[in-house]
Amino acid sequence: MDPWLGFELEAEGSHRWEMGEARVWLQAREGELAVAMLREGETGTEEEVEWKRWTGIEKIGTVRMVPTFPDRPLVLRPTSNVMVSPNRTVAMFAALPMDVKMILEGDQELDLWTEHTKVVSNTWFGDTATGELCYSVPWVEALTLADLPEHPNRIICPVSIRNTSRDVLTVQRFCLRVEHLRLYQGGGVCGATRSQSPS
Amino acid sequence: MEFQFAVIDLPEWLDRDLAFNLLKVLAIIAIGFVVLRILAALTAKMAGKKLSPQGVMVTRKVVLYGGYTLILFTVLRQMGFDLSAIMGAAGIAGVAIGFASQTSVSNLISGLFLVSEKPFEVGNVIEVAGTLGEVSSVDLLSTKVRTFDNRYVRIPNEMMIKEQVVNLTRFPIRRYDFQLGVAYKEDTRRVEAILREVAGQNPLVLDDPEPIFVFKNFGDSALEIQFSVWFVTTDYLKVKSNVLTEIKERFDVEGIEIPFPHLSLYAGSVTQPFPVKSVEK
Repeated sequence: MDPWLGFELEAEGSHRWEMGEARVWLQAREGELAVAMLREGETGTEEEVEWKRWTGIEKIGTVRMVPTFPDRPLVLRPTSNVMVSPNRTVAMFAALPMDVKMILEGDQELDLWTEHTKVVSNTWFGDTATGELCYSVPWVEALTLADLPEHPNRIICPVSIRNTSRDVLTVQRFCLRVEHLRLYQGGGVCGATRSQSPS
Repeated sequence: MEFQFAVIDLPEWLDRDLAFNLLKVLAIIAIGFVVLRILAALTAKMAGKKLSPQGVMVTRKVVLYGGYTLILFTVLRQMGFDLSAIMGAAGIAGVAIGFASQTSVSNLISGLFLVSEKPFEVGNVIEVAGTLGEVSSVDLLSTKVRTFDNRYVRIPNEMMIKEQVVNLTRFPIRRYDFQLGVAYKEDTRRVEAILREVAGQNPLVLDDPEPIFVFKNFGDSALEIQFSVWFVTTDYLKVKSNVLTEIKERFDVEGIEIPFPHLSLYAGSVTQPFPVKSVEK
């Protein structure tokens, strides 16, 4: 079942989503909604995870999950050094971690909650006094889409790195500002618009 | 019925000039206060774009007190007082008050230095003279700190200038150095790999700047190790507690011994056991 389709939840109903290894549980009863999540990389059962509750919800209608980008820039680290020759452009693909937003549709649309579907580590981009807090993403450089492992909770992002200098460029890491990207769905995967290095 | 109109003579001192002067004085005070309030608010608004909250507060107070002084002198002059005599008296009084209030003046000047130098701001966590807490206000005479056990500490600004002040939240990230000890039998390279793995599995620990492993010394009872991790400043307590717990759990799983201080008695020979003799009484 497509996890991104809206789901009509009964007043005393429950539902469960699976996105790769991530699980989301939703329960409704007597004007109350309860949501719990187990991210990829976490262990536990439905009973062990922490539940969040919303009370005073008069009408429970359609609940929808929407994929989104994480709330901070991502620092991608290639698993090996990527070398780009002078005046060349390299096109590759990256699998980015996905966040999900739960929306309660009705007379007034209500954003219930947004969470990572995978445990992501913090990292710092810049010097220790003025840098920026980002999420760290190990980057398995894939030259084609087929090289990327299939993950329902990943966003496929084409990446172009252009070396306009006269020296060989060694890519050890780079910061991807996801707020400039757009998300779309096609072919059963979530994709992002192309990200290009500044020329 | 016959009405009688009494003619009341105004006192001699209340002539028309004096009444006019009094009206002028009242007008100066009323208009002066309104203008001053507007001026202070405008100054604070303009200063707010460039200065910190305490800078804005000091600027506003300087404008207000300067304005009050100006209004006072204008009023006195309007009432016919000789300002040069008043200034002279104020000078003498100023010297006397200055001697009597050296501490306050020192605090005041220190406060101005603190505002201009900005070693910390409202909301920063600082440590000064054994007091650790969050700065709740920086005033002209003192700095107010709320400690983490919710005590209110007033620290004179003079002390803030004289003492060493550590600002723990000046920078967005910081490092914590875990001082560890492992038994002499352990392989330090394996210990390093395990520690790096523990740090890598904690999402709050930054992978860049990367954790630092330093084999510091051959200690009395253990191999002394420093393991340093970086994290977002606000995650300090979580990281410190979680990483220590995770290190202990992982060392237990891997069978790495964390020794306690102990003393070995040497019997004088490597192969001989320590001689113990049982004596019957």
